[in-house]
Amino acid sequence: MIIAGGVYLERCVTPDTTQLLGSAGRAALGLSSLRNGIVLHTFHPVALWPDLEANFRPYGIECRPSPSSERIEFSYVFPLARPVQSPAIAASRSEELINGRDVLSFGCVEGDFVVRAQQAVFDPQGAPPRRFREHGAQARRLAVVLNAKEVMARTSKGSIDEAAGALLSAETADVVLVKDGPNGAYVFEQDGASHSVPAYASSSNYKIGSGDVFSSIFAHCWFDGMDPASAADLASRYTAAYVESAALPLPTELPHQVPRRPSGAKRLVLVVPLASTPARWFAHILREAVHDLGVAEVEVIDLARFLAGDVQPVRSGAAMLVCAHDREAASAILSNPRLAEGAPTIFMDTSVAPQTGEGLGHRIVSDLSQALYEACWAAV
Amino acid sequence: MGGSSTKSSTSRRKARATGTGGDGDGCPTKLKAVITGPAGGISPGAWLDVTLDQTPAPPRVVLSDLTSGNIVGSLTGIPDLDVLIRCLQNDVSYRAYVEGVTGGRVDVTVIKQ
Repeated sequence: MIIAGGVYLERCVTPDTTQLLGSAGRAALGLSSLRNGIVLHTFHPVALWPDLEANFRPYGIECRPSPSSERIEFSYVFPLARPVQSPAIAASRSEELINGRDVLSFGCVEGDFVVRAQQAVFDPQGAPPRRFREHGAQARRLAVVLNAKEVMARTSKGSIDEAAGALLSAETADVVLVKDGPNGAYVFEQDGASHSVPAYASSSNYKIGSGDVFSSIFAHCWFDGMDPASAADLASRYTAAYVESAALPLPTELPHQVPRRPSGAKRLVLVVPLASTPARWFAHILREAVHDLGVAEVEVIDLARFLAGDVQPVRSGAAMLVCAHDREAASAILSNPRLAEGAPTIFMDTSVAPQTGEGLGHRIVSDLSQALYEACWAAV
Repeated sequence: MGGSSTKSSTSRRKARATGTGGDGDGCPTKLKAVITGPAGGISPGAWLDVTLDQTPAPPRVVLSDLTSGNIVGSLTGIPDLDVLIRCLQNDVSYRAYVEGVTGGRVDVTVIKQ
């Protein structure tokens, strides 16, 4: 299998992580335990090619980099926050032709891979929007993988179903897969068949690169003849296993996994400190992340006023996430049945107290991304 | 070509300067990593030996339990891994400290001895 796409430096503040992976690097390394003969095409500065070799060659991955001017870096406050790309724009963009039987291709900051393959999976990775078949790319069988936000942005349709249908036609694709975060994923086939695939539960949630794992497992299975719905289901299971550990290569066997079903509610009450500018900035980052997970309505409430009983959120039909940055605040919520009404998920900063548990119907989670997912599984 | 190499050198300096440190030999003093393919039974606070498995080329950096000698995982997906390998080949000694175990995720800090 050929895997084409970016190898990027990824930095995250919490959890404190620095990795050299990117979509293509993660996909290649992830699949190295499941199949042989992986060839990695990417863009990278020539001076750093030995670093690519050191990272990927020991795992049986053949590196075929094309020169670029700079190593691209993505910085995250936490895994669900929108990343900051550095440099913001690549100095130049190149175009590379990829010929192969099975090709998994990711959208790339530094340029475009023009794929000529018997079967291809294309994950455009957001901007810049590009169709697979632009610039002469060809594939007898084609699957396109996007997230819900991307598929809606690429069409003028009012629903994911309509947007996916339009994309099937526009891309002349056999399959369109739409990843929808805590809701799982949807599979749309050229013959009109559609399937829903659940998200699977995990106890922690390192979301950076989860979509890369989804696309890579889908490609691995679909290229080998598995039907699209089964391949997508296995991709969702592997994604849950990956976000739990962030460990690569991917495991050869999966543990028993439980699907998470959405509850149907569309509101999330977010209780956060708002007393300072940094606190308000943090609240803004959280709100963006919740919106990106597909929750239509987010009500933000100041933690201090909530604890004092000054505000009463409308809890009907809503889930609640309380960010209790200190033990005192968490204890105040847990010990007060009135405040705890509605069984909020409570995020406890790991710098204060690494803790995960349950009590009085609450979930206490020390992983911020996991706390958001737990809240959204109740809210979406 | 000249312009291209200038940009490459700039990005290389930028990449090499972050998270590595060093005391003159160009070897990183400390770097953080998530263990690749971690075995079970690792606890926070444990110290691991850092060695090279020369079987593949280029070699793989493996971490093993200091007491039992059992391999507990390896390092990959980290910037400047080629530099770390070169330092280990030059007999610069490293140990890894297990910072945290969350779910199946094992975070270590690799520290120059």
